Amino acid sequence: MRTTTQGLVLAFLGAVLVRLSWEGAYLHFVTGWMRWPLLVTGVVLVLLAVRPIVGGGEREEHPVPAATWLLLLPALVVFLVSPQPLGAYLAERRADEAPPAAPVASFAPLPDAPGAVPLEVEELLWRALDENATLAGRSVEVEGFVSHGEDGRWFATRMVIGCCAADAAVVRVRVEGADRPARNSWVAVTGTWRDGTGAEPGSEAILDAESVRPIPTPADTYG
Amino acid sequence: MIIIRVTSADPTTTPTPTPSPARRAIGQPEIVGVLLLLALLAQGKLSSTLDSEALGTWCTIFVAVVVQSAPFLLGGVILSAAISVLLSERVLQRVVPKNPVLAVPVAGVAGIGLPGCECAAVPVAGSLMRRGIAPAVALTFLLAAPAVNPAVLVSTAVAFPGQPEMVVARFVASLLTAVAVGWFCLNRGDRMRLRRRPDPPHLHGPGRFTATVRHDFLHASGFLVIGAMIAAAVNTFVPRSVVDTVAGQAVVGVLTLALLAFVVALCSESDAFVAASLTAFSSTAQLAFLVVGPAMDVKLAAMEAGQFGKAFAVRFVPVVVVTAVLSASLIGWWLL
Repeated sequence: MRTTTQGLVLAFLGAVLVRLSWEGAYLHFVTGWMRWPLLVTGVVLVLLAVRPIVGGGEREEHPVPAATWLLLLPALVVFLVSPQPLGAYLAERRADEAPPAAPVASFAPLPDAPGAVPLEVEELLWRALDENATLAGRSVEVEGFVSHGEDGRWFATRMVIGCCAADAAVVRVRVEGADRPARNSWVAVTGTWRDGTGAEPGSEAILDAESVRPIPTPADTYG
Repeated sequence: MIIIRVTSADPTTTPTPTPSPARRAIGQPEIVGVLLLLALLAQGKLSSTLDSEALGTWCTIFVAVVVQSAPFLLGGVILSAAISVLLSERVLQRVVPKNPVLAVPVAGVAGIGLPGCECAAVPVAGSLMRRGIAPAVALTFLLAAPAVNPAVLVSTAVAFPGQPEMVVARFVASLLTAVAVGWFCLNRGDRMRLRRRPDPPHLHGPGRFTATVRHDFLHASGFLVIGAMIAAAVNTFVPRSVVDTVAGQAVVGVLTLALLAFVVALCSESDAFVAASLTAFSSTAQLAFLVVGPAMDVKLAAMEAGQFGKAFAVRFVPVVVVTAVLSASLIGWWLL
């Protein structure tokens, strides 16, 4: 690879990283705190590329392995395909994996406010496992995308990530008593936890729905 | 004393398909530039034709691995350039014990100080060797740094609530792996066929620092992309539940999770969460996943082949994996 080309490859990758962090699409791939590291990385890569591009042709060649050509691939994929956040496809494939462990052994009671209490799907699953039965008889609201199961079942689903999309885990609650929305559409489900469901590791938590309304896709689908 | 034999210090590294300047009819930079411009114009036209869900998922995970690693890799090459430019061999030799047998465990413990992803450690190890550190000592640092730093230990504690023994076992088993491999390389290093890249050519004067950073980044990143492609394919197309069928068997379970850690190539700060979700397996098998992953995976193997040569990688990779599995089994049997 010629020195000028090396500069082009670096600048392209750098520009794509800057754009990802600038426009917020980086949240399709990694967690929120990565925004500034990515922006800095992109800017530094572009700066590193200036000299080989501007003064490159006449200068000494610095040979690099043929594998360096592959560096074009991730940037091209971002550019041409604009990969979307992980959704129902992976969630359905990974449905039988255990969700992440709860960070605390037992949970405080839900706040005593009127109306449905907003909860993350993950926390709903943890509370269903909790012996203190903090969910019993309470109306809760969860947001997630729709993934499908057998026999017309459907789930309000989230993918949670630790570092990047490669380590995504599925958390989902089965919704009963409402028509099945389109796969991958985002919904807010208000309902009550069916007592005793999901109380054993590996069993399915069920939410008896009072209402299901469509919501726009959040900026950070994993958060 | 450096025992590892350094094979051909070939400045051109691997041959590239680049035509020589004399024969080139149309400039390569121009071709690449035009292709990138076409990509710019075609944006959005192609995305609708590539709507297969599986392919889309692969793309997301592939880009995610690269995007997550890029800042760490850049940080690693900047640190390694700083070592090359700022640290003289004399300073390093004063810090590192003269006796390599002693220096190996020191390098292992020094790994606590580099809280980064494993991709940062590869260029740093390379630059330590360039500065005259015995290869076995630098390799010990390479194996220990991603596994025993505080960020990794904290995330392990969070992923395994109420099981502090898992954190201790991970720390001990990873350090043991790094030191054991280091000593092995000291002893048998002459058979490892390490290829040490010489300093990038003609890098002197004011532009030397940035030139080293640019050169090292370009050198390592292509191999990172290879690893990311394979890891994304495994993550997308191999459901993790296929490994559950062997979860009940002690030995097969350990070997299966060690293999899984190698092929999924997770970053060491988050692999504990995945290990914790593999609930069907024994704690020792989960520990093997946590010890093998940061020490060796498909992404690291590709990067090490790029940095130290293919002949070295095909010897080093199995040595590390076997040592990590043995060490995890021993510590798991003892502590878990």
